[in-house]
Amino acid sequence: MEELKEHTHKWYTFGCKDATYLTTKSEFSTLTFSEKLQLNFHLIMCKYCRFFVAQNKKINQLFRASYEKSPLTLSKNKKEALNQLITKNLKK
Amino acid sequence: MEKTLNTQQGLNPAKWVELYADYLYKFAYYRVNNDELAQDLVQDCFLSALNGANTYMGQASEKTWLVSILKNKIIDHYKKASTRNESPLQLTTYDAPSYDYFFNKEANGHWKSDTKPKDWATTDSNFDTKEFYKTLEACLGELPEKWKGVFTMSLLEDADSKFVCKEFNISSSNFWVIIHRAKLQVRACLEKNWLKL
Repeated sequence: MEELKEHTHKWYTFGCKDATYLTTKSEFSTLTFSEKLQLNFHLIMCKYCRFFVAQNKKINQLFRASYEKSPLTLSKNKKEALNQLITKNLKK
Repeated sequence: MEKTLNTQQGLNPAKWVELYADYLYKFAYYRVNNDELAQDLVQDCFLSALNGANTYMGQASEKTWLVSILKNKIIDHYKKASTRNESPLQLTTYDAPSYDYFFNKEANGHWKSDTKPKDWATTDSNFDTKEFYKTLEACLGELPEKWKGVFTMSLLEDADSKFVCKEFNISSSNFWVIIHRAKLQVRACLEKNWLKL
């Protein structure tokens, strides 16, 4: 059994794990000044993390777009069944 | 008798399926990533709404009211999933690849050579296709059940992270770790299964 731990990082060992963590954190929260500095400095040097940043953004955007555009509908049968269920429960 | 009561309150259950079923179904589907479950949740939502029709005060629109009932059903589903296997913070090793799968412990947590992100910009793959979305769905399906809700609900506009943390009973730093791990996993899954690199 693995227990998720809070993420901690130190400036002298700041690596890709930390950079990708801060990237996802920044979507939901404002980074502190020093976090921003460390992240940006890392991104200047690391092209893989730059790829990650771009792809992370892309995944968010594609997931939301797929929700917006999805033509997903309930089947006719299911709708009929639901209507019957509602009518039955209304009569009670 | 009940029917007139509902109409007086501004509710019209006879029209619910026609007006809202598709919307509610899609809403649920994207948050639980499971067709059958989404259908069940919509059904539960309508039944709860009928039972609780007298609690409808007419402050919110009928649709908003139904959506809030459905949202609670979705959260309940994830809560059940959590109690079966304790909290979203506890994982069995086969649930998800760990940090060590992606990053090298010794080298300040740099990418391992086989998990380094590749450049998607150089690929010919078109993202806006049905096939892509199918792959995305399959990749989300591989997330631990307990993370799926945290992931989908925080990404879709309707839920801010505070709401998600509260409902799933996790702290914000735990929330960030879950999102981080989930993103690492989904990204790697997409790169492996869909991109023609």
